[in-house]
Amino acid sequence: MTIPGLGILKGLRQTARNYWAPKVTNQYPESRPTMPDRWRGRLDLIYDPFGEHKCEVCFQCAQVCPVEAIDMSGFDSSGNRIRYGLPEIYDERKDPNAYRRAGLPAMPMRNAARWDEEIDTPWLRGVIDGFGGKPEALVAIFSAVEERYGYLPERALREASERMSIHWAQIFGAAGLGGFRLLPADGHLVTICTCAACRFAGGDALLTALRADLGIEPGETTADGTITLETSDEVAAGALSPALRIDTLVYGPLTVEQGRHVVGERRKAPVRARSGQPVA
Amino acid sequence: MTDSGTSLSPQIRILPGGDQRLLAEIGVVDPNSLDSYRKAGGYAGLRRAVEKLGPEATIDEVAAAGLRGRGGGGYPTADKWRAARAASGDSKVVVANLIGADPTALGDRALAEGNPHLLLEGLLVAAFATGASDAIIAVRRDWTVAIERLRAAIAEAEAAHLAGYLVLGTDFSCVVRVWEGAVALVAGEETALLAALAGDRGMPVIRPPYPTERGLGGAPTTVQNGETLAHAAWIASHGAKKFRAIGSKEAPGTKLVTVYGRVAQPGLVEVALGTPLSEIVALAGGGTGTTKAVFVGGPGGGALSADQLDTRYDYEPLHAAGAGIGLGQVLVADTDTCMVDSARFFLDYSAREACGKAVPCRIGTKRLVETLDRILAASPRPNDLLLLRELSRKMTDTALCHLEARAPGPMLTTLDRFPDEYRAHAERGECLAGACKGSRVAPLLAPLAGL
Repeated sequence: MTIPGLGILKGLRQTARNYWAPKVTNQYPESRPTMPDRWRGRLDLIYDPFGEHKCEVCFQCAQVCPVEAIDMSGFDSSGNRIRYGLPEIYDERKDPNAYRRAGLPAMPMRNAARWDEEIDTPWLRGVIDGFGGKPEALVAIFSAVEERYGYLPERALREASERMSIHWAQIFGAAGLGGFRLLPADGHLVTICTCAACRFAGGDALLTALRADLGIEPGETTADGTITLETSDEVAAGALSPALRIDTLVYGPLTVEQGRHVVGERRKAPVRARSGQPVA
Repeated sequence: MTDSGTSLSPQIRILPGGDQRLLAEIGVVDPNSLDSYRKAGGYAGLRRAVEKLGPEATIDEVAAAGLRGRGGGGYPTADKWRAARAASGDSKVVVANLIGADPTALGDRALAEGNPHLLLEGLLVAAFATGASDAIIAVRRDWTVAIERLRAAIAEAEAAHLAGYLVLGTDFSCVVRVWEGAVALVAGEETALLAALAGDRGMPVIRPPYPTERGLGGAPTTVQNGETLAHAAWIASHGAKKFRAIGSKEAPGTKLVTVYGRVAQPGLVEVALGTPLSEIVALAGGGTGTTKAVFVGGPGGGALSADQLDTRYDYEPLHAAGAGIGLGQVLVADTDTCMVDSARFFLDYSAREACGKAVPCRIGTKRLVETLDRILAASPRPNDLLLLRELSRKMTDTALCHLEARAPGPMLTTLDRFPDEYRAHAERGECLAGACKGSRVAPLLAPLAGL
């Protein structure tokens, strides 16, 4: 049985007790309160006297974070660019940290020469304004940039972030989760499909053969710079499985021999110019 | 854009046979012509709904037909529409989900390329029934042919006053547009799709509130799989009774099924729900070699062993068997396929495609793959088989979205049905299928494309 007003009286009793209790000031730091074991205080980045971040992107906080929620990018104190990554691929980000603790410079991005590629800013602004700068057009804008540059240059993403007043993290996250390339690929981009259909139709053999032929692993470029090999689940070859995609064309169904032949032929063809010029 | 004619992309192969209802008109109707679609009885359903039935009766009709979502969940479509209709909001939105989350499923792509007006009609019927004034068709951005044809279809329908403002001279208006979406498994999840539509990361959000209450921009939003909408259009024009003519009692109608793997002729078929799995496999020319298992439902499904092939292809029987309908994927594996390795493949796929929002999914899938790697390398820890089950249960219990909840499915079902293979791998390093040679060389996770 409940009596109306009893709860309020109970609450007020606590209020009354506090009201008449003696007031005490703890002499911190002489006497300290007992805090939970994992209490770390308020988390914040600290600044030097000139107003600059003192964070040198050491990834130590990211490494100890138990739920692996932290990630970052930037330049460390010696000017090395630390590769950025989505918080999702946390295994990767431990690499620079391992390097750092070994006293080595943090690992550069794979294609260091092109990470800050110049972009055609007026063109990009035109594209963004053409979509009215709406956030829902992000994927379309990314598609247009990828069509022109073959990947999403970081400067294009920064420009989009600025122009559309969308947080960098949001832009970068949408690009990363949208299946866009964030690094340029040199030469022809050979993508081997690893979806279930291709795999069970013998896509493994295709990958093994090409790895041996080209002498590179997925994600790498051949020494002469003509072929970049990668794998993807999203070639969507359907009835063409097992398939591979070269640049934008999907080939399939392929036997190992046919796959070798196709890649060998395409290797001889000139690579379309990507950087800085519109693609016809 | 290139002029693609009227043919489908070579990626789509439609197999003859089965109970063709939606597929029957593909190849007959010219996808670029409204007249051709109308000659085949098109837009009769929209006309009937708008001019004769009214929104409530349209929903009742769909309820009478017993249509359930074809995107895997199997939620009754009429209930969803009712909830969206009852929700209060200045404007409501309907979204056609053609993201085709699993790239192996061909159904939605075939519909969008082969009969875009059918999808559009279904979308308009849904918009009319739920009272939506905005409709969005979300398509994977690499389905260029589908996008081109859908855009053309919308323009044609608007010119003929079938879409846009004042449809058919009534006061019902619905502006339809095509949105090119991301290419990722998680992008097909309805809340992730809505997040991506708003320009955010395509990650699921916690439910409730369901999108039918508060979705895109706060407006009540109905997200429906493309195939469901096509069925809805069919119901609106042919009536509920005809729809129930084929299919099972709990789930009438047909389903587009993609059969692939070790079959003579992989491709897309349409079958009545309740058809035994063996018949579906037979439609694809039967298995090559001796069929050992059938993975139903893609990375979120499960494996059925060969002696379970008489299981009916329907929501409940498959669910009881640990599998699911998914987007209609049926993968046939023969005796040369290692089940442990297949389970690892599906889990690895889920791990690579994990959006990373939910920790149990992001890390759990990875730990499951690592555990399977230890088993495949014949160096398991003593409690590894137990760990697989425990971890899977926790992932399912704490799941944010259905992709996570069902990710362990292929592993759990193979563990139940082919324990010998797991044991042989773990204890003796021997592959009973003779497929895994030597130690694994593949890295745990290949780097994401472009990173």
